[in-house]
Amino acid sequence: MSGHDLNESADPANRGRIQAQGGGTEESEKWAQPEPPTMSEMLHKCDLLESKLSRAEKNERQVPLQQLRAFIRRAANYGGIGHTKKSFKKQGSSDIRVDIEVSKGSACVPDPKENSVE
Amino acid sequence: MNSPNSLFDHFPNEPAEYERAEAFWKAHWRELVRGSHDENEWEEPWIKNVFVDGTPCRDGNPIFSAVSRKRRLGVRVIQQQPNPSHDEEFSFWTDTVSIDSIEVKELVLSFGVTLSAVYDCLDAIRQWIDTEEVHLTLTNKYSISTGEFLTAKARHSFPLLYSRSVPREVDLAA
Repeated sequence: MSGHDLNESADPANRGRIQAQGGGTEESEKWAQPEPPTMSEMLHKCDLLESKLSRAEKNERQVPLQQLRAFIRRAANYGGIGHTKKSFKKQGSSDIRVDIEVSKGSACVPDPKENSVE
Repeated sequence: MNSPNSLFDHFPNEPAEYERAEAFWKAHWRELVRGSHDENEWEEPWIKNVFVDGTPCRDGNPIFSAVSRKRRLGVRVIQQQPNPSHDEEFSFWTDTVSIDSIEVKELVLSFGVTLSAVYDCLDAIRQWIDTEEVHLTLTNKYSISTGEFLTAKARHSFPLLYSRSVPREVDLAA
């Protein structure tokens, strides 16, 4: 992971968050950095977000988290995603969900290709 | 083929049907805001549901979005993928979203593909843009002509499903 810091730039070109919301839960992982977060960085953020949740919170967001990760991978195939907000809701619940919000710049860009050693 | 009580249930797999679903929501949105004092202040869509390389996302998430920066108010409509094992129809919540560093209150509506869910959805949107609140007990204010809709659906055009049957209760300029 590149470990971009939220304080790295006063006005970073790329900003956003993923959130676990609804049912009394409110946890998030944010980014604010000069380069768009890559697919791997975003998947890592999903892991970090998941690690903040209790077992029950995690269980009820199992499918929404899968959907979010699938979306991140899909976005990377098409160069990433720009300004957006998407919600992945647990079916049958009123509002238990995970959200992705890209408020500035882009995110989920493809990982850089490994440098080939010649 | 769509079932009689469903709406665009093949939208995830058929681009033409997806475009009809987008056109449907756009047409109904315009009817909802038509004639209101802030009709021209709404931007739609505020989420362009495309990837960086321009490929349409076509996941229904959202199928429609609109925002009024002046009122700091937004609407986001999510059409769920059809799932026969769930009969979920309609749910909504409110949230905040940052648009160009402006915090906007948004109403998010998530619904299946049935017509009844669409009616609830439209009614909730109308309440939201009129009063910035939604109460499900206030639904069914519209007169609905399902027969007209189904006929129109076969023609792939979308006359409005409802008409206003009550005046606006709240003067937003007050």
